[in-house]
Amino acid sequence: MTGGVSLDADRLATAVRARPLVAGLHGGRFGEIATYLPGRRIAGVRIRPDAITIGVTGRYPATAAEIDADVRAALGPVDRPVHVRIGDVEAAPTTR
Amino acid sequence: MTNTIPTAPARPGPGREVAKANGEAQASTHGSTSIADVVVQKIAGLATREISGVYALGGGAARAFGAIRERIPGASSSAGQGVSVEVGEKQAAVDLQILVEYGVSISDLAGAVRRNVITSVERMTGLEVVEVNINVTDVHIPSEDEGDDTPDTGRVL
Repeated sequence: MTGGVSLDADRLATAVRARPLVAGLHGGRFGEIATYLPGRRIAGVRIRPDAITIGVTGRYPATAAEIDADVRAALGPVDRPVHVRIGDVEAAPTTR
Repeated sequence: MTNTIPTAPARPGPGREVAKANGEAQASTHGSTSIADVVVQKIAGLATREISGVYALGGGAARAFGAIRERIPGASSSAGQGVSVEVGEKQAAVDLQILVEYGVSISDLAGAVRRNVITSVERMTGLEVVEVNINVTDVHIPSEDEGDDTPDTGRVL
């Protein structure tokens, strides 16, 4: 059961990070959006039995609606509601 | 695990059912294997510490005592600090006292700790863990001790 959750969170984190409008994952104001695992934590992904929350840093020119759609596209179909929190935006995507 | 224990967490406290017949665990026709309380206590303590977001184990008094013990040559802080267990023939129950780092979601962290403790104890000892009760005794704020090991909360400072 631990394996299932950790694999899932890693897979979601990788899929979300790979999206063009997402600069990175964001742990929220306090770091409360996270998956707690032995020896490490995945900031920006929270999987609860009733919902999934993804915290992201957006890329500047994109609108919130576009970032939201991008994140949802990365997750694909899931069995529970998905909350997307845009915690920050990053300017100048070309300098990185 | 072939026991018919309900999956819902049992009530904590003295009324709980941990089949109590210490020392005769996992008997076979060629002898028996018994698992001491300390074994389960240490496994549960290490499994709890492993989880990112747990700062330390124990309440105020146990931690103060542990800090003194660490300074005595040859002694070390106990892995079982803040952990109390009841071990029976086939089952075990664990009570934990933990300090969490500031910024973590305590309910999510408690769920992660519970999962890791149950998995570790069940895999290493073969005992069924019927309950893991978690008491969060304090929140650790990084500025309380100077400088060292600031946890990464993902905040821009």
